Amino acid sequence: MKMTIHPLAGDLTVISLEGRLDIEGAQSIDDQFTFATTTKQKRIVVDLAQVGFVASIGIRTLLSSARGQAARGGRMVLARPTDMVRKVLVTAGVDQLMPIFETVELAQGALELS
Amino acid sequence: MRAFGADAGLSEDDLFGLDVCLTEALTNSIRYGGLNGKSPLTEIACEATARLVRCTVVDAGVAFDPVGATPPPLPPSLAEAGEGGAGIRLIREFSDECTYEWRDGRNVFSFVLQRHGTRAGSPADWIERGADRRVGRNREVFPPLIDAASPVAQDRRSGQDRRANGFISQVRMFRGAPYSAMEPLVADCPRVSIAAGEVWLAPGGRSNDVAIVLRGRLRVHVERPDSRPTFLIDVGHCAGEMQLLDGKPASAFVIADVDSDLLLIPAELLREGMLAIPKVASNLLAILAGRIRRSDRLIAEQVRAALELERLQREIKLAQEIQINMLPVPPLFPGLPQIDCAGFMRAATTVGGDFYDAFGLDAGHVFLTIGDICGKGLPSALFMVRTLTTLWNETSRRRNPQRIVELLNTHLCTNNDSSLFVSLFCGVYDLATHQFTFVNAGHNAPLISIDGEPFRPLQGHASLVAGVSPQAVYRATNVVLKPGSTLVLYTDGVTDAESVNNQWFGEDRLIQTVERARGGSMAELADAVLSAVDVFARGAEQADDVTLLAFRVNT
Repeated sequence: MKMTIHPLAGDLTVISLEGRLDIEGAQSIDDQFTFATTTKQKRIVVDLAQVGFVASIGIRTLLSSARGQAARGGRMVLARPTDMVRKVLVTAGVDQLMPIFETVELAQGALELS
Repeated sequence: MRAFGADAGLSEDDLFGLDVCLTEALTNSIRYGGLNGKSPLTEIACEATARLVRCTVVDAGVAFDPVGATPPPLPPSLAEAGEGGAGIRLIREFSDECTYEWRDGRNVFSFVLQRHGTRAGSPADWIERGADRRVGRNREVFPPLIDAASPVAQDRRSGQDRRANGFISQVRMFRGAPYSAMEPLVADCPRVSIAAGEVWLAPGGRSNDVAIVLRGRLRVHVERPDSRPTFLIDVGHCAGEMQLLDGKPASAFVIADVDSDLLLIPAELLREGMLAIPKVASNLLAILAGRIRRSDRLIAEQVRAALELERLQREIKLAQEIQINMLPVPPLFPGLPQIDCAGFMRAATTVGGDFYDAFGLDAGHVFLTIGDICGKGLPSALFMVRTLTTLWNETSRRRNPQRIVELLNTHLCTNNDSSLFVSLFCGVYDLATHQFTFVNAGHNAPLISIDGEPFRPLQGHASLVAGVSPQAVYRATNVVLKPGSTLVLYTDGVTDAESVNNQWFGEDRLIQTVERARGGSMAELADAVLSAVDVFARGAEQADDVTLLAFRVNT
């Protein structure tokens, strides 16, 4: 699983994930992702365009980071899941807990307003 | 699984669904499997027909029924989003049918996916394999995804526990090392809590552990536990790593600044287990390099401070010499056999605030003075210099003590921002008439013995100290110092000298001392007083400058 961080203006950040967010994938980026998303207050867009698969363990990673960031006063949102990945997220109720956007621009726009 | 999917000609979406179900089933196996001490191995069997995919997952772990369990309600908010529930929902969503059975002491979980899409593949994919469909047969289509020896298979803790070790990513020494490598090493390390103020390490002490701050803060003192801390150790940073590496005892105090939690890594584990991980080793090198740089900076600062101190001490020594050179050098009045005069000033600190002087004004007149600047140290010494030079100046022009002190006062009142003042006694002695005209500006009365009578304080007009008020009025008083008379001028450093049991030397003791010494020379009398004060105050620190000027008119 690969993770790339693109800092934008201010505390706005786009984190692109690439690969499978399954048992192995979640484990491989766990500490990096936690560190990148929860140690400082930021507004984060997680770009899932290159994520082919998400399991419940991956959902846990995302939710825990979102929670950590919210605790710091920031926000984390998701963007560009594939159709199947979106189905997983909706089934698990993730869309009720953090917004999912069609594009990174829309996500950015929403974060800039908040 | 991909190979199986390709062989079976599964569509991407169907493959995705299969992936989800298998992953969640395996996650459950791993989470609940192995908890009972049995082998954590999980066996998976999959079959595909033209219409569906059927899988069976078998493990020997604690019984867990994902089918019968009602999934917990969806969490209403992010803050309440807990651990589980998602897996079961996903299985239910992505499979069309799932069953669970506890058979022969094992969990047997099966699910079926209806195939929705089709994908171009070999015609053989479409043949229904009827007789071969045997659910439960241990036919491994592909090996288990997770190797029993890998850390994940041994990870029996739930997500919350894993988060508890999430600090690993915050520890400087572990930054960048693979989480899976660090976690098992760290999981067995003991943790301690220490209260604010508790000493973790003292110089000379030995510790078998490197302590990593998980919560709170430690502070390091190089010299004493109450000196200003040299640096702080925050969350994620370590203490005690130096002595672990060179085996030498600790060289500083490490104390908890606030209530703190520490992770203790035993020496052997660090050396053999963790340092073997390249990233940890390079992190430690970076930490040590940082320590060396900081230590160099500290040394540079200390050297600078030491040099500065040396410079200041040299300057004070110089000031001391200048000051002593301003005081008269014995013998006083060697050319005037009709009088005998001697004195001393001993400063309490390096530079004093007391002075005395005795010099001839002209052929027939002699000037005596003694004074005490408020305070001690450099500022008082400088004020003393001002006072003396003004006195010298004025006495070169006039002989009237009243005018002299008036002018001195005016001079000292101007440009006196530090609000210093001086108490002084001065007088002019006429060698022919034996008249002594004096002014006492707030100073303690000298002792006088007229013509061999017992010593008593010299009465006269009492004026204000000099340097405070330009309007102060000074008046002179006359007394005749017949031959055989003795005058002892002194400052309160003599009478205020304190003994170890908090007694003062006092005027009475001074009178006794000078009475006993009246037979000798003035130099001997001065010595006697100084000795008496020293004996009296032995062991106690000299608190104030001790000054005395003794004057006798010989018979």
